Amino acid sequence: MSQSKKRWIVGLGIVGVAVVSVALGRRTPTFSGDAPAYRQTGAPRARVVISEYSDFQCPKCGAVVPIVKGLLSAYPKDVRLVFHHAPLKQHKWAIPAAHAAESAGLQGKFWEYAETLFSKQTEWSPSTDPKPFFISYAKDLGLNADQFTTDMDSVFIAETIRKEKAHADAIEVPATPTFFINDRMLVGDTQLSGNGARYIEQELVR
Amino acid sequence: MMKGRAILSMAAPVFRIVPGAVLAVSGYLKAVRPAAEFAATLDSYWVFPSFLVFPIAKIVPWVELLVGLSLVVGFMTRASALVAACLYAAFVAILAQGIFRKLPMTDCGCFGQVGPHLQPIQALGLDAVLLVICLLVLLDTERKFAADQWIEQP
Repeated sequence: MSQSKKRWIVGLGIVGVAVVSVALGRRTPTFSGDAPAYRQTGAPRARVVISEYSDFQCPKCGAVVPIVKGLLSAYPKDVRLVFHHAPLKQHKWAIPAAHAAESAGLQGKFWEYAETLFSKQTEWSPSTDPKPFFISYAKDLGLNADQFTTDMDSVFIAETIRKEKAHADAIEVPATPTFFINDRMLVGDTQLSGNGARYIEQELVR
Repeated sequence: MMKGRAILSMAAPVFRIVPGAVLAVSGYLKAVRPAAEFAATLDSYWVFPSFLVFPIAKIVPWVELLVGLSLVVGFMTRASALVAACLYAAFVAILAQGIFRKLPMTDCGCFGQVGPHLQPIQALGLDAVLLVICLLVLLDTERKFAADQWIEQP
């Protein structure tokens, strides 16, 4: 066998092994569009669903709020946003904050409350006990404070957040915020601001 | 000098396989995940212009995987070792600037999100050692247990 033939055989073998192993091992995260109605906003029958995996104590998650709002207002008939909790281990108050946001959601004010948590992150995040802050934000939004406090400590909400966290872990959300525009992943504010609109446009012409 | 050559020749297969396997594994672990993940890691090093981040995130894992496999089997060994050395040198430079600028990096991102999570300083040390090993592979002329040896047989 000639040297060049042998070289081709080995070279193609290496490329083949690489392609087949990656194809077999490829793990495209399957995000879930499943979330309660209060954690969804935008067009109900949208062709593009943005699934956001976020942590209320993460500064970058707060920084993306205007970018996400911009996308929703640019495509009012075509885009729906679904929020998922992905509280990170290193953020001590991320889970209590998620409980608080869920409690606000049960009273119909999830998005307003989420925005408050992000905008006042520097207030409650470094505190030793954020609960009084959470209750005061609820009152500011006109929520029933007693109901809010009861819900925040409820087993139902604890189980909801546990499931959300397990889901985020299962799909290996690499960092927060992570977005799926239909099934295409973007990680962080820079990627969303740079590629979000382009991905939506591409999904709309599919 | 002769003794050094003999030792190098004996150790060459291991020298070839170790950096090759590290490259192949790190490339594979990144190639099986969405490019956005590695792109986010690249973003965190503040080196690449944003329009280049996604193309680099798509191409580099495949280059690592192919070069790594080539080194492991000993295919086009000198060329593979040279490309691997360039990759390791680039990783050393990128990590060093990140450490020097005190960028907020907790994980080098070398093995994607699933693989071992090395601190940037640990990754810098590993990459520097592997770079030196790749340079030693360039000096080996015997190609023991390498596909090149079989290819070059008449």
